[in-house]
Amino acid sequence: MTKPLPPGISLEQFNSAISEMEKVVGKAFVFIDDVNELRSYRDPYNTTNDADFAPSAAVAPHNVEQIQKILAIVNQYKIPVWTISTGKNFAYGGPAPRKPGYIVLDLKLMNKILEVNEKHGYAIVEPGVSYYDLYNYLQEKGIKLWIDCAAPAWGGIVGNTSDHGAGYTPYGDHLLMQCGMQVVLADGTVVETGMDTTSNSKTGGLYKYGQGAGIDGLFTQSNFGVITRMGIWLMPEPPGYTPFMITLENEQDLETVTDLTLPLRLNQVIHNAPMTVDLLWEAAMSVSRREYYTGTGPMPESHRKKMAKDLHLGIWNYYAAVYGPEPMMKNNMELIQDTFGSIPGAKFHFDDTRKGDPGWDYRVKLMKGEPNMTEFSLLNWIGGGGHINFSPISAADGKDAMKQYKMIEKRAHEYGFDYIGEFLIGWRDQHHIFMLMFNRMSEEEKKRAHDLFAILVDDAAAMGYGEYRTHLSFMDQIANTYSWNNNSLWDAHHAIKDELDPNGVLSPGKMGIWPKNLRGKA
Amino acid sequence: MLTRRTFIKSSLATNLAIAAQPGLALGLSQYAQEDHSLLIFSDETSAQAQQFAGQLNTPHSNIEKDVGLHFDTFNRFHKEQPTGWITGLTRDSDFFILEQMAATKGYRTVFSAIHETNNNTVTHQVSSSVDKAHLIADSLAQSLENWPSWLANNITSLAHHELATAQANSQAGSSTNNEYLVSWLLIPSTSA
Repeated sequence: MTKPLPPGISLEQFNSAISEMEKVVGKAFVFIDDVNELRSYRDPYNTTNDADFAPSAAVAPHNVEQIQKILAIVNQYKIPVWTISTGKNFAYGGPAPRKPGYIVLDLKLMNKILEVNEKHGYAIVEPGVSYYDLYNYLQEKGIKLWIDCAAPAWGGIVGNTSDHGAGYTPYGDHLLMQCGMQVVLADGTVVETGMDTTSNSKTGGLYKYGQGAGIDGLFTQSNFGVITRMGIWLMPEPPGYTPFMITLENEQDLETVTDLTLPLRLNQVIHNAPMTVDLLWEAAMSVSRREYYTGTGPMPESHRKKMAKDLHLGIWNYYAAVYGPEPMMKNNMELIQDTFGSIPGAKFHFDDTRKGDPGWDYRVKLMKGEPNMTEFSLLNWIGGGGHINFSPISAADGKDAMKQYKMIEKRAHEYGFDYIGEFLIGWRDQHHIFMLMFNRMSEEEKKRAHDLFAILVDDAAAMGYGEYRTHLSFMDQIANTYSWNNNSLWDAHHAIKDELDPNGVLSPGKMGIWPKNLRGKA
Repeated sequence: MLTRRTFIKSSLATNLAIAAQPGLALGLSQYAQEDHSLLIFSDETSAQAQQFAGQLNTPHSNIEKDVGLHFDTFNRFHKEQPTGWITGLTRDSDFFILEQMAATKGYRTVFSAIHETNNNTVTHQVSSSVDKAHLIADSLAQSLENWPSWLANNITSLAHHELATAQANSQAGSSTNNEYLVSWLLIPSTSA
């Protein structure tokens, strides 16, 4: 295989740049061997060709000063770098760059937990700190704060937050809980946001905005700078925690349960983001598809019903929790049980009857910020399981949820795939995650999955839906659906990009934001 | 064949506490084989994986299903035995996660095979070097229901160093159904 090189760069220039980077970080932290070193920077779940996202090299700096020097080098050679923190963003591309030949700027060695403030409930971390790292730190120190982690918790706090990730405790809107950041711009300038930019700041982790324009969001899902430090609010350990599950017997119950949830959520009767999870997602935690159906195409209804009965699951399975002092939880649970008890066939489940069920156990952990990796069991649903996530936003509205669900289910079945999905109610919206599961060993199946995803983007756009996050392959297509007023939003993105990164070295193409030298050439 | 195996360390203390929990679980044990310490993972719910681990003649216990609980063990092994090898007969998802974790520490996959059981027939799909794949698949098939033992006895000699692989399928009777396991061997680049 021919080694990919950065676009427009000769092998001589590449080698020269690599040599200069080695002087900055040390030879041991520049990776160029495709077999022994760069395999960990590929996307194992891509639906096209592995080579489409193959980096030419990776470099792992230890500190801000080294990042500044690396940026000076890549600006000189006009070599694109693709920034990652822990690189575990699987289903959306993992550590792989948008285009072949980019150099991965891997921040995993910058993994210090710089501060934890128990009284005020926040932490300040570097990009290489994973959810496991922060959780273990809090446990070891006996600090009574909870983290809010992504479902597979090996990911990084900075990476997940800057990709608009969500979690499952009351602090589940990760960007909402972000407070202050340090960013290195493409020209090496270091910027701190919010209160941290004042002299001798004592309030950087407390107040998000400071004076002037709030620019933190500019550095999320974008390529305008390299985030090197971030403040994140942490939830004080509550005096009580009551997770619950409701199994729902009918497909149409999605509409009812969504409508009943919204007022409870907006009024904080339910404290965290409730999840309405379909049968197959839940079942995949403990069984595989082949145990119930060995045919091709989507699993037939009769088999689904048998599986639901065997596993004591609903067609939809609703998870949420209440937190706080016992009287408060009791009061809220009464309201919740009165509300959802009106759905025919709805059954409440708690720890006493559900403990030991893998689906229940990992949700209980997630809703109290306990890191785990159980959700990866989904990959065992089929042999060689790979997945990409189609993630449109819907209203927290029953009819809207049903409409979006039926659209995706119909297309999934048309293309021969199971619908495996969940709705996560944030505040007024729902993140709808359709986990498009395919056999990553099958080229035919990968192509079919790719085609399905592409048509779902178009279908969703036609119905007025946009996606909140996506895989490398579909960043441009989805960016084009955010096109109101002659693409004025993306024109604004590009204007900022051109100003802050005139050589286009930082993560070109991230979320469809391209520097002028590569714009329109993707 | 594995010879002069030396047992280094058996089950973890945590294993005992959760040994009573059945379910989707991994067993784990640690060996030394000649020059290379070997860390072994096996799916505790699978009879085949148990046979694999058992053949390696080490105590192993049920530990919780969540592979995330193995991260510390993996990191500790890597720290203590930087040239050690890691192998397993596990669920596909557990292999994926461990492979990704190991890759960040400089490990690479030098052997893997899928063992899929349907209708009392097990199919072995081997990814190895071009010259070895068919041979390994045939050997697994000829071992009939004892294929996990054959695998255990030969796992450390199955390493290949070519990136390109070939696949081969063979079939043999099996008493279990609808199982999908992956066997694998990861070695640090310094061992290549």
